[in-house]
Amino acid sequence: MIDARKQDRLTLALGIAVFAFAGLCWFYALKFAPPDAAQGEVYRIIYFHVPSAITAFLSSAVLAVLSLWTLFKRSPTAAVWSKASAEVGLIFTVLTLVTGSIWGRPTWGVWWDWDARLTTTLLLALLYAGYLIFTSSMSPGPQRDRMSAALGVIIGLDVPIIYKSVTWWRTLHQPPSLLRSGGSSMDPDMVKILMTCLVAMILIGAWLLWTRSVNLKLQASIEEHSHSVHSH
Amino acid sequence: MFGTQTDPVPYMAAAYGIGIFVLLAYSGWQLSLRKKLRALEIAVHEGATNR
Repeated sequence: MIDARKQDRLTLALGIAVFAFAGLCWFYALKFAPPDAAQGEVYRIIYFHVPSAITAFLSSAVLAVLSLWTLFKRSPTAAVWSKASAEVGLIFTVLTLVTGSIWGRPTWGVWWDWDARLTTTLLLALLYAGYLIFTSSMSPGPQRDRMSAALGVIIGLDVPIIYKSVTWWRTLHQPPSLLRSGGSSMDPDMVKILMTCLVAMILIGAWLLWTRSVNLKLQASIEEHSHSVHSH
Repeated sequence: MFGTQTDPVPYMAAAYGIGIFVLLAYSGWQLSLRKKLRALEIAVHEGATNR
């Protein structure tokens, strides 16, 4: 019980720390980042939108790796972490779509467009949601873990498609500004602030993943003990 | 350019406001769930011990 209390206090302390750091990053981005030559001030949404997107993609990569681990090692712990990473991934994907839509209205004149980047990102959100619905609908056990893991690997395959969508197809969404041949097209000060906001968002994502995973494991453990108490 | 003529403040406020609210709400839910699960864990453990 003492270990549990220490763990919970650590969880809260780390949560406060990561959100405080992120808050500072966003404040700095809104107040001190230089304005954009073409978009003016509204481009500052980038400091939330892009980190959300990258965190969503990282969640998908984590889900794919954990899913492969579940398939080959048949690890119930990996299956729990998979479900947590799918939830966290869904949240960040939805935030990417919402903030992107809000940014798109004043810059493109539309809330939504069926271009390749937006459509494949929406597909990612639907895949995450489908994964969670599927996982919840089956009884816990190795069969559910294996089938969810297969779905988790498929979800991971969408991310490279999302990333390459702006170069494979003609899209409304802008092409890569950071990872491109010839170096970044962004102002160096903007890049530094964006990278800091990205680190902050990844830390939030990691904290959410850890916190959710511990809760899911606790829940499973309680259900298991509760069943064994009632069966005696 | 369309973006430089539109007031950016409502859009930035909406984007950051919704984003931060969702992250804090989910975090708050998880922390609150942790408390409830710990209490349930103790109850189940005591239930098993008393048998």
